This record gives sequence, structure tokens and C-alpha cells, in this order.
Amino acid sequence: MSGKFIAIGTSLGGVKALSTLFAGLPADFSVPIAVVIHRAPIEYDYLIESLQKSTVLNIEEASDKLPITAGRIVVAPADYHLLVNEQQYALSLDAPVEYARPSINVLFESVAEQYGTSALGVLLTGGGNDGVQGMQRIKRCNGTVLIESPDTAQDPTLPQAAINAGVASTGYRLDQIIGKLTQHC
Amino acid sequence: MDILIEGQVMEIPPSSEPAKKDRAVSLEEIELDVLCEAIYRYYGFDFREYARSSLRRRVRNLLELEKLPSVSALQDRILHDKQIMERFLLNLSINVTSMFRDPGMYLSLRRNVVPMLQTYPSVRVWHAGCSSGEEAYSMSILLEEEGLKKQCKIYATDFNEAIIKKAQSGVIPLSVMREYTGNYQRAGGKKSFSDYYTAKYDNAIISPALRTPIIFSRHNLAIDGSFNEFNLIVCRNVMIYFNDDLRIRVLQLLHNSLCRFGILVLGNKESLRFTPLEKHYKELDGPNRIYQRID
Repeated sequence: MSGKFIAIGTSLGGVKALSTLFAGLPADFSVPIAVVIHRAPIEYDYLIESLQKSTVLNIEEASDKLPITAGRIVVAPADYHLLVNEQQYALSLDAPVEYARPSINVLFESVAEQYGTSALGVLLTGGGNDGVQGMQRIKRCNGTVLIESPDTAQDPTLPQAAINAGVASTGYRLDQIIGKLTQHC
Repeated sequence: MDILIEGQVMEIPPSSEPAKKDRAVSLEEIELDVLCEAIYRYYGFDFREYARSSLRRRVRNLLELEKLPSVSALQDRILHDKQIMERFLLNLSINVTSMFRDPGMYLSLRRNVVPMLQTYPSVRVWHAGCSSGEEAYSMSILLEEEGLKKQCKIYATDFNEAIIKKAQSGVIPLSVMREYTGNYQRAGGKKSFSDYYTAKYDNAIISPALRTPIIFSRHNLAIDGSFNEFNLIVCRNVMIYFNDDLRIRVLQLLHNSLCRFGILVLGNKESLRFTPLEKHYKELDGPNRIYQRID
């Protein structure tokens, strides 16, 4: 597969963690990033505007068949799963997974299959279990996985679940994750 | 030449060894290709141009449900057992739908589109990919409240016969009606929502008067052509399951079925952006994806 791809999943505490992460990425960062953050299907939540304040990189909410572009951050809309096909984002209204739509697992699994060794999965603060299976899939397809340290995550449940499941032996602070992303990409 | 001894397993190496890590995934891709081709040739349903990521997920869900080890095993069952094929179709055609889904869109239809429709002596509406019919019934309610019912016909189509029958029955679980009531009110509903159905056991039965203007029939967007000219076409969250080529073909089909200055409504996260059809439309309401054909 051509080029790298970063998929980020998070829930509780995610807006703050994402803002910190995006603020640390350089303006010429040239890898596409897709984000699933668990959010309520209310009519308007200002999530994109709020995240955009942290970075000069372009952030937008995914629409179906949006082209995958280097250096653009795309966020899953409320109440839709986000997936990737060749060169395009895709949405789906399939049933929630682990009670979540958008589901982190759904994004991660499709990124694992589309990008293989070029996939980077990043699991940040959050509750529940959604994202663990997806991280395992990325790993099985020989992609890279990074987990936020349960010690520094606002809600350690999800990162801890991933570590317990053997996705990775250790987690990282956000600044270390930024370092690794910049170095890898 | 080796002699094959009974009971002995002969290992056949692949002709050109692909990188091991990619093999499992690409084998499944081949199986999916073959499955879609087989279904198309035997049953006539065309999933060959469905978006792969979603199709793969749905097929995997079905493998789990049917306790089958591989896509090839599913293919064997599908080709020899019609009931499995029907379950496969259901799995691929049940779309999340609800009455007055995205209430803001219906409110916008009332404000921005209805006044124009009221100037026509007759109005034809097409709900393409109507699934179990909730949105077609919503449209029927809206048109009645806006005094358009008499001059209106709603054609509601889906590729799956079973789903069409379900839609026709007008039976909806009572448990979801509370959510629909909220949607209806936010969509600018003018009456009490309960006027439109009667409760029977755990179900709501849609009032027969709402069914009168609706013609439910089978139509497959991937295969069939245009069958009439419409003033309003609603096709929401159907093309998200298609790949880009099929989506563009279907958009073209909808375009050919729309009268001049006719209205096209897509799902809230779909768009004409980056398509060749874009230049033939103007946005009547951007966020609600209400487009008007301009040439």
C-alpha cells in the first residue's frame, strides 16, 4: 500500500488529548489522520471548531467518499461508522459495535486491511473496550500500535484494556506519542 | 512425478509466494470477488461494485452468524440454499432508518421545497432505497399536512423483495415510536403524531390513509434503469454502501429521472462534491443536502 496512515481512537477525555496531540504536530505533517472519538448524536457539538483551535493542520468532519489527503485530519461524524477504502473515506450506518457508532474497532480494522504495514493505530484516553480488537487487527497486519499510558490518560480504562489484551507492553505519554508520530512519518 | 499416496497430504506451494503478511487479507479479497460474481450470475443481484470495506464487514458478520469458517464456505451455502441467500440479502439491505430521521431536513423541505411543489398540478416523489419504509411514511405525513396529498404519488423502491413486503405492511415496533414522536415534532409536525397510527400489542400500525399515496415496488439501483420522471427524489444513506463508480452511475440515473428544477435529497453526510453531477445542481440547503437541478 502506498504511504502511511494514522488512525486515532479515543472517548472520555479525548478532546483534550487530541488537542494536545495535534498541537504538537508540525505544520508540514504529511500523513493523513483519521479520528474516531465517541460522541453523542446531538445536532451540533462544535467538536471540529474546538479541535481546529489546537492546530494549523486542516481538520474536517468526514463525509462519504471524501478523498484521503496527506496532512488532513478527518473526524468521524456522530452516529456513523468511519472506514477507509482505496483513496477515499467511507461511512456506514451498520449497527453499533461495543455500543458505539462511530466505533474505533470499525475504523481500525478497515485501516489495518487497507494499509497493512503502513498503518499506525493510536489509542488514547477513554472508557470501555471499543478499540482493543481494532488495535489487535492492526498489529496482526504488521502495522504499528501506540497506546497512551494509563498513568497519564484522563480515563485509563481503555488504554489499560489494550495493554491487558497484549496489544503492547507499555503506554506512552502524549509528548512521547507526538515524538514517535513525527519520527515515523 | 510424485505418486500420491492415499491419506498423505501433498503441499502445493503458491506459484509466486506473496509476502506472508498480506496473504490472508488478499485471499479473502479474492473470495469476496468470486462470491459477488457467483451471486450476480446465479441470482442476478449485483454487489460487485459495493464499497469493499462495508461489504467485507457485513459478510464477516454473516459468517459469524452462520458459523461458517470462510467466505468460500458461505459461497457454497448461498449457491445451494435459497434461504441463506435471503438472509444474505437481508443482511445487506437492512439500513438504519427511522421516521423523520434528521428532522432538520424535513423542516427544511417544508420551508424551502413544499411552496414550489404546491405550484405543480401533480407531484411525483421517488424514495430510492426505501428499506422498511419509515422515511416514505414520513414523507406521506409531511405531504398530507402541507395539503399535497391529493396530487401526490410516492414511489418507494428497494432491491429486496422481503424488505418491500415489510414496508408495505406498515407495522413498526411500538418501542421506537417515542423516538419518532420527538423527531416528528422537531421536523415541524403539525398534529399529534399518534393520529397516524394505531397501537396493537407491541406494534404500531401505520394508518391506511398514509399508505394510499405510496406505491411500493422492487427496483435495483445497481442494475435497473429510470422508470419515470420525478419532481422530488430522496436517496439517503444508500450510496454510502456503493463504490465510487457505482455511486456516480446511480447519481446519473437519479439525474435522468429528475425533472428540470426538480429536487434531490441525499443523506446528511453524502455530497455531490467532487462528482461530475455537481455542476448541474445548486444547493438549496447545504447542511441538509437538499439540491435543485438547474439544467
